[in-house]
Amino acid sequence: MEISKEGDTFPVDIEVAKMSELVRGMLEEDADEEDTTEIPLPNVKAQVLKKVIEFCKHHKSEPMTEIEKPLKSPVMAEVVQKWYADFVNVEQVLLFELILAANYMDIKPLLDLTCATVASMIKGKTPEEIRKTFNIANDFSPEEEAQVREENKWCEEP
Amino acid sequence: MESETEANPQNRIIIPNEIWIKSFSYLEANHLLHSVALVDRSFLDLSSDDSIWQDICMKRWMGKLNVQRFFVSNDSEYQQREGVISVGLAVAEEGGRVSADRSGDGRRTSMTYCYELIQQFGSPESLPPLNMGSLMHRPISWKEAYWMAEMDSRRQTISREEVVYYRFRLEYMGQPSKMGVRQFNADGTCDSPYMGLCDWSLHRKHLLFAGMFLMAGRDKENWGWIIGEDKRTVYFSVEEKSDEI
Repeated sequence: MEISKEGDTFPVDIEVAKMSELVRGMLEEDADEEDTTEIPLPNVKAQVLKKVIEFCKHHKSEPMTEIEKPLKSPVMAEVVQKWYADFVNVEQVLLFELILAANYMDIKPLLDLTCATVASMIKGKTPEEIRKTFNIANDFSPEEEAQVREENKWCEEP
Repeated sequence: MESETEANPQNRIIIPNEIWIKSFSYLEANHLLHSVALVDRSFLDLSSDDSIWQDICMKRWMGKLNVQRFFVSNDSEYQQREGVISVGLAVAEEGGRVSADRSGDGRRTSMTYCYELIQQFGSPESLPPLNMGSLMHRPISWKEAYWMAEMDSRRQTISREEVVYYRFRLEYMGQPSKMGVRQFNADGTCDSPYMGLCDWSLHRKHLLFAGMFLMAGRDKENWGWIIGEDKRTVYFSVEEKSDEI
């Protein structure tokens, strides 16, 4: 059983829960209580934890294919199975919360998927479009920006 | 609901640096250089991370002749990186000046230096062979290594050191020669099974060998060199000479 920040409990099969390296570590410390171990996850909101568990359950029935680097397409459905592409088709805030949860709970395929999704939001965009997407202010001085632009100008693969 | 574009930066979820770096690792080199690096200072910094560029560098340059020594070296990390450019970027004196400049100005990188050279000569294609040797007195970043290998692969003028450095396999009228590989010795001679010991010398883009001017050009397959492509006997660079020979 996994317990969220708010105290909600989510019953989870041990095999599913073990996809999280964090949880796996907690389980191995008291391995004798096999069936009803409570795992407190005070950093993870219920809404996010629900999604994380949904991911882990699905991964057991249809494992996610490795996402190729560099991304072939900015469309997630073209780089990973449809279920996973739909799974990360969420608001940016929730996506970032999933990333933080995957990072904290140490779930590699979920971290791969969510990071690739962030990359798909960057792929093919201009610096200004990227700033808009992630609400980033340009802190370069015009001289610095020109220098970075110039330095990289010649470096294009034939 | 906060709007995506107008959200207050304070409300923004802070994503740890390593997450951005992992995300950037899914992007292409050109996009990292031309777009991501220009977003802000933090993106410039994170998109230059060694872990991203090591991966890109290996994928792009593994097995290519101009960076070969780099990948076969069993020495320390420092020396492996040294090898990235040691094959291609050979000769001259300029490197010493760069090395001295670097110590005084943190912002001055190998890339800045190369950029200035490219400006001076118009394009990477018209660069003469340069001595980057002195740059190697300190480890360079993988991004710089990638960039310099990329730039050097576009250089169209072979250096004397490269002629000596490689072995060359021969093709006669499109057929591979059975007489083994050819080596151009540092003393300006080359032993040919047919012609005996002949002199060779380099004249800009041409190798003068046994009385013939042979044009040297880039081998696009492995970024080594092809000498005499327009002649009946063509020389393809295949590997570096071992030190024993």
